[in-house]
Amino acid sequence: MAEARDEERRQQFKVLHDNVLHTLESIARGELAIGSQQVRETCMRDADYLRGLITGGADSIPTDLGVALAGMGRDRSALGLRINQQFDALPKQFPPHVTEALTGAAREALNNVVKHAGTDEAWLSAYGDGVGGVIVTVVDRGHGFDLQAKSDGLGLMRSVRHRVLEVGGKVRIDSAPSEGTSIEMSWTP
Amino acid sequence: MIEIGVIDDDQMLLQGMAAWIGSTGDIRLAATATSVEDYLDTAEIPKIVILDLNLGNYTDPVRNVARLVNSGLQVIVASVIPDRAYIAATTEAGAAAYVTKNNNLDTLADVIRAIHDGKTPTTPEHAFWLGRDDRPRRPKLSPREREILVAVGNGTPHKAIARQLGITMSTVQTHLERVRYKYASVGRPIDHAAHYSERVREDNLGRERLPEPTNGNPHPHQ
Repeated sequence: MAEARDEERRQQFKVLHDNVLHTLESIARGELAIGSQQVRETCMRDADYLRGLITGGADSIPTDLGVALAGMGRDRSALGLRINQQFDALPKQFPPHVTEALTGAAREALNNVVKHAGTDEAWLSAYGDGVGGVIVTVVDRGHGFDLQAKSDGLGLMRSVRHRVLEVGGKVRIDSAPSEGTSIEMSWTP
Repeated sequence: MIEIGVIDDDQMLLQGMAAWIGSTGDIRLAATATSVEDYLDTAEIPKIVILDLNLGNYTDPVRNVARLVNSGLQVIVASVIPDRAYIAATTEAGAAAYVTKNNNLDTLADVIRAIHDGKTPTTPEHAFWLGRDDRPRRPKLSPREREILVAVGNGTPHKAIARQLGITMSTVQTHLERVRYKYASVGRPIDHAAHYSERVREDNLGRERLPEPTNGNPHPHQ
């Protein structure tokens, strides 16, 4: 079980690091015009991804959840969203199905930002609660919406909520017109 | 025109910085140096300086900030990788702001302007790491101060925080300023080497990247 997870993590690392290495080597070989918008965006995305993996203190090591969230964030960035990632003290042992659910919910939340928030920047934060649980937040400073009114935002929120509730987590959504949206997902064992 | 300086040992970054800062129109990069000593030797020292948290010369980040602050400068600490303990400790040493080196010019420019206006801006990344401060002797924050720090830290705009808590935006700002004041006046100034070794012990700061405080010999490069 643990070995299978280690192997999975190695695979994840390999795929994700391959992307970053590919970017660096392409530049080194002179294949890319480094001043171009596309290359700059790719570099920024890769940098954000690596930073997401290494943040914290001297004691912090990459975790399954951290790697999954950072990789997901990197993919979302390709949609033109600037994602400020901050991870700290994530649990080292974490149920894979919860990792999957939280990462999927955060992905939906970020998709929601791309589609409805009218902004190109979002914050993705995650930290451990010290007793084996985590809090993941997705925040934007875009349009926001009226929580009382029926709107597009709410439909997407339903899929975020569904994924988290299904694994026994909690979701808190806050939004108001022109004040952005923040989604807090938490899970405790 | 706001004049600033940068202390960084990354030549590529220093070169890019001048053009980059120049594009703001109201901020000018007037001095660069690769060490704190060299910066303080500059003929006309800009009062606002961006300091790399981890200079490759293995000087201590906390002491670097303290030296610049004691010289009357306002220090913006910048780092590639956020390190919880050092962000907290440099804040206590009197740094005016903390930013990550993620090339977000708008954020950096706003921070510079705020400091120029005499404010003490707390960026989301700064709030996030102060909110994660787990050192045994960290400043005591009120539940409300912590709540606001965590909300700012996860990117929530001040306007939304004010609405959620039923307070005004200026009260949000006041709470943040009080947090910064608590850090700045934590009563543990580092003004000589003995203090430094005390702080390292107290804060459990990683030693592997730093010289032992007493012998002053830098680690050889690997």
